[in-house]
Amino acid sequence: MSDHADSAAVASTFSSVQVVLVSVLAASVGVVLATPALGGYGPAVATVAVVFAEAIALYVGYGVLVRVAGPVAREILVSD
Amino acid sequence: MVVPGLDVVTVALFVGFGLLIGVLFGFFGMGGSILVTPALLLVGYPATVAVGTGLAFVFGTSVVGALRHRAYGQIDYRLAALLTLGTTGGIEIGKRAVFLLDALDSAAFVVNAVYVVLLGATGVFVLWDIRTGGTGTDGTRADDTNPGPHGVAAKVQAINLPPMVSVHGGAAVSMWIVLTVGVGIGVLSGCLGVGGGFLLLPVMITGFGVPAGVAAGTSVLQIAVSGAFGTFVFALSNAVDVPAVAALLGGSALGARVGAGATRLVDEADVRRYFASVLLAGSVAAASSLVSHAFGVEELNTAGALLLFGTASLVSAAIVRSSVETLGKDRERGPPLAH
Repeated sequence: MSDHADSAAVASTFSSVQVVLVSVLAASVGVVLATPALGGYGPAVATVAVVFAEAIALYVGYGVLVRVAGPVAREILVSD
Repeated sequence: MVVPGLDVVTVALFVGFGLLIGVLFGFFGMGGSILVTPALLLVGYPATVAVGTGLAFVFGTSVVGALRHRAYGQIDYRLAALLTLGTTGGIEIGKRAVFLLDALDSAAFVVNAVYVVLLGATGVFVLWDIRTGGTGTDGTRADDTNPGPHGVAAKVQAINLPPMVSVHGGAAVSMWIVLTVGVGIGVLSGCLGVGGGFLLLPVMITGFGVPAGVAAGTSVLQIAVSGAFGTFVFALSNAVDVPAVAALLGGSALGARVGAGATRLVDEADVRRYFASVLLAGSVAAASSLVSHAFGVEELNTAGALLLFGTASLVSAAIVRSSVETLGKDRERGPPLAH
C-alpha cells in the first residue's frame, strides 16, 4: 500500500516536473520571440518572465530535492 | 556558479541572506521582502534599484506562495481583483515618488528613514502582541464570544458608500474602501519594494471580516499580480537587478521550505520574540545606514549590515536547531504516527 502511495507520489512529481519544464521552456521561447515585437516594453516583459520562470523552477526543483534528499538529511541531522 | 553581473562573493552573500530570510519568514508564513530592500541599501544599491529589486523579489516569492495556496482554493477573487486594481495604481504613484526623490538626491535617505519607522513599529507591535497575549487567527481574542462583526470590522462595514462588495465571511464592504486600501498598500510597495502582506492581512481580517485562510490566499494572489506589475514598471526604468533577484530567490525558496517545515516542530510562541528582535535589528541597521550616509561614517554602515545579517543568522539557526532537537526527541519516543 505504502509502495503504491510512494509510486503515485513520485509519478505525480515527475508529471508536475514535466509540465513545469515544458511551460518554462515555452514561456522562454515565447519571450525570446515576442521581445522584439514589444519594442521598448520587451526587456521589462522579459524581466517579469525570467523572475516568474525562476520562481516556478525553484518551487518544483526544491520540491523534488526535499522529497528525495529530505529523509536522508533528516536522518543525518538527528543521528548527530 | 557565477551569475552574470555579480561576483561569486556577492552571489554567495545574496543566496545566504535569501536562505536566512526564507527560514525566518517561511516559519511565520511571510515573504520577507521587508528586509530585502534595507539590506540592498546597506550593501550600496541605489534606492531606485533596491526598491525595484525588492519588488521583483516580492513577485518571485509570492508566485511560490500562490502555488502553495492553490491547493486550498481559499481565494476571494473579487476582493483580489479590486485590491490589485488599487495596488497597481498605488505602485505607479510610489514609483514616481521614488524617482522624484532620486532626482532630488534624497531617495536613499527617505526610504531608509521610512524603513527605520516601519521595521521598528512592526518589531514593537510583535513584542506588544506577545505581551498582551495576541489575537486568534480570525482576528478575535479567545474570550471573544459575541457573534457578528464588532470593533474595527463593524465600523468599516457600517460605511455605506455604494457600490458595496460582498466578501468571504458574509460581510459587505464599500468598493471605495477596498480601492483606497489597495492604493495605500500600492504606494507603500512602490516606495519601499515590499509586498504589503503584513498590512493587508490584518486589514482584511480585522477590517473586512474575511476569514484568515481566505485572507492569506487572497493576499498572496494580489501580491503576485501587483508584484509582477511593480517588477514591470521598475524594469522599464532599468531599476531591477535580475542577477541579485535570482540569487536571493535561490536561497529564499529553499529557506522557506525549511522554515515552513519547522512550524510543525517548533512552537511559534517561542520564536516570536526572536523574530521581533530581527525586525528591530533591521530598524537599527537602516538607522545606521541613514546616519552613515548623512555624516560619511562608513563604519556605521558596516556595523548595521553585520547587525542585520548576524541577527538573522542567529534566529534562523535557533529555529533550525530547535527543529533538529524536536526531531531527535521524537525519534527517542518512537516512530511518528502515519499521516
